[in-house]
Formats: sequence, structure tokens, C-alpha cells
Amino acid sequence: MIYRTKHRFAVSATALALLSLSGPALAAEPVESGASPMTLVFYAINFVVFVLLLARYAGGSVKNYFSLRARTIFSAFANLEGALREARAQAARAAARVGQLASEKARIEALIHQQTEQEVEAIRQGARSLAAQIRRDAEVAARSVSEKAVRQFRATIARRTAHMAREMLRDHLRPADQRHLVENFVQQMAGPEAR
Amino acid sequence: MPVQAAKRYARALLEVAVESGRMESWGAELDLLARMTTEVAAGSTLTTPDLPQHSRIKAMGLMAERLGLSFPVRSFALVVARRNRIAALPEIAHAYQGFADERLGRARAALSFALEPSAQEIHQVVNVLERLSGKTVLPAVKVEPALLGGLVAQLEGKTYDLSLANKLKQAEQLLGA
Repeated sequence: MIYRTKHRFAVSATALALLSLSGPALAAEPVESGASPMTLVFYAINFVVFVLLLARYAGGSVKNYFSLRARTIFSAFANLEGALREARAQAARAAARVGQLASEKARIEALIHQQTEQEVEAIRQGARSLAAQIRRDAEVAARSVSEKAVRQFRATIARRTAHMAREMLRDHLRPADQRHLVENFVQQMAGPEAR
Repeated sequence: MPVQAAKRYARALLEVAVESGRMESWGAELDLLARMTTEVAAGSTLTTPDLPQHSRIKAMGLMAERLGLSFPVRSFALVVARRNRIAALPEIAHAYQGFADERLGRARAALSFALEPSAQEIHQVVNVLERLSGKTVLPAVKVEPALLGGLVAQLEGKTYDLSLANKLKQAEQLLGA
């Protein structure tokens, strides 16, 4: 504190001394052919004074501003570093996940492949079963149709044969044939099977 | 009319006929009367509900008299008319015939021939049926050309079909099976 007071005092004294020294410089005649060296000194002194005054009265604020600004920057820098670390960690996790994705993809692909094969096998089995069923049904249907056709054919043949036989008998049956049939009736009725 | 009722009437008449020793003749008269009532004109007139009861009885009496039936059968006809059983006379006559045949040890056979049979053929068939049934067989012969050949005999509820039509039918079934 004492040091700061002495320092301010020294600065103020120096500034006043410089101002008092600059008076003769301002009073001097300018050189017609160019700027006087005193003028230059005057300006230099003014500038120094200006700088000292500026440092005296605005230095704290400027220092505080820059100090605050530095802290803000350091804080932002720390945040940025944290964010960077987090980003790197996330990147690492993402990279790890990407690395896992390949194996997961392979696992899912294998699972899908396995399920697809199972589905295909099931469909194939179903198709085979259906085909066998269709084949059996077709065989049964064909057999049925064939048997029906055979039955119809035999029935038709039998009907036509019987019809022809009836016509022949109707036209050609003689009394002798009838007598023979009556005798046959009598013989059969007299036999033991008739009883 | 229920069969049981017709049988009751027939049995009642048969009992009287047996006692009178007129079983056969009364049976023939009853059969004649039954056939008359089945004639279209007489039967419909006697059985129509529009005819008063006394007129029905009177008509039945007149018909029996005209047919020359014996007194007991005429009386039976009047009883039947009075009980309003004229329509059942054929059933009664049939039942009477059955009872009479049973009593006399007879059986009736329906013989169907494909061609007109000779007397000898009928005799042969009747003989064999009598041996088969152990009864006297009374044949009712008719000709049925549809039999094609041979004959069919119906006796005591049984049918003996040795016609060619039947054999052809069996052969057709055998071939078609």
C-alpha cells in the first residue's frame, strides 16, 4: 500500500515536471524551414504525460477488465477443454460402438440368415407336404374317376347286354323252351335247396 | 278298416259256416258279394256318405237277393251294411278264404307263366308246390309275357321266381357290379 502511494506520487511528480519542462518548448519560435526540436520534445512529453495519466486513472479498470477477460477466457478455455475431453470420450465411445456395430451387424446378419433358412426350410417342408397331399388327392381322385368310369362302363355293357338278351328272348322263345324252363322249375323246387 | 276287424267278421261267419257244413259255398258267396261291392257303380253307390243308412241296408239286401245268396250270407251282408263296413267286404272275404284254407289244409298259389301253360305244366307245378308246403294247393294262373320265360310262383308269402327276366336282372347286376 505504501509502495503504491509512493509510486503514484512519483508518477504525479514526474508528470508535473514534464509539464513544466514543456512550457519553454511551447514558447520557442518555430523554425521556418521545419519543426523545432523543442516541439518534438513537447509532444513527446505530452504523450508521456498522457500515458501516465491514463495509467494513473484508467489503469485499474483496464487491468480489471483484462483480468476479468483473462479469467473468462481461461474459464472458457477450461470449458472448451472439458468439452473437448467429452467429445473425445464420446468419439472413443462412438468408435467403440462402431467397432461393436460390425460384430452386431454380423450377428444380426447371421441371425437373419439362420431365420431365413429356417423359414425357407419350413416353407419347403410345407410345400413338400402340400405337394404330397395334392399327389395323394390326385391319385385318389384319379382312382375314383377311373373306378367310376369302369363301373359306368360295366353297367352300360350289362344294361345293353341284358336289353339285347331280353329282345332275343322275347322274339325267339319257343313253347319247347318254356316247357324246359317249367321242368327246370319243378326240378329245382323238388330239390332239397328249395326247402 | 283295420285288418283285425275284418278278421273278426270273417271268423264269426266261418264259425257259423263250419257248424252248418257250408264253409266252401258260403266262402264263394262271400267272394261274389265282395267282388260286386268293388264294382265301380255298385260300390260307390253303397259306400257313398250321401246315401242314408236305411237306403244302404235296403240296397245291400236287394243286391244279395239278386245274387241269389243263401239266407245266412244275406243276413251277414245286412249286418255288414248296418255296421257301415261295406267297403271292408273284400278284406273280410280274403280273411275268410285264409281261415277256410287253413282249416281245410289248403294253400293258394299265384302262378305266373311267361307263355300260356298246358294243363300238364300246371299240374306239375302244383304237385311240386304241394310237396313243398304239405298242403293242397289251389292255383291261380295268369300269363305275364314280361317274364320272358319260365314262371313265378307265390305261395304262403313266399315267392319262387325262376323266370328268365329275373335271371337276366341278376346277371345284369352281376355284370354291372
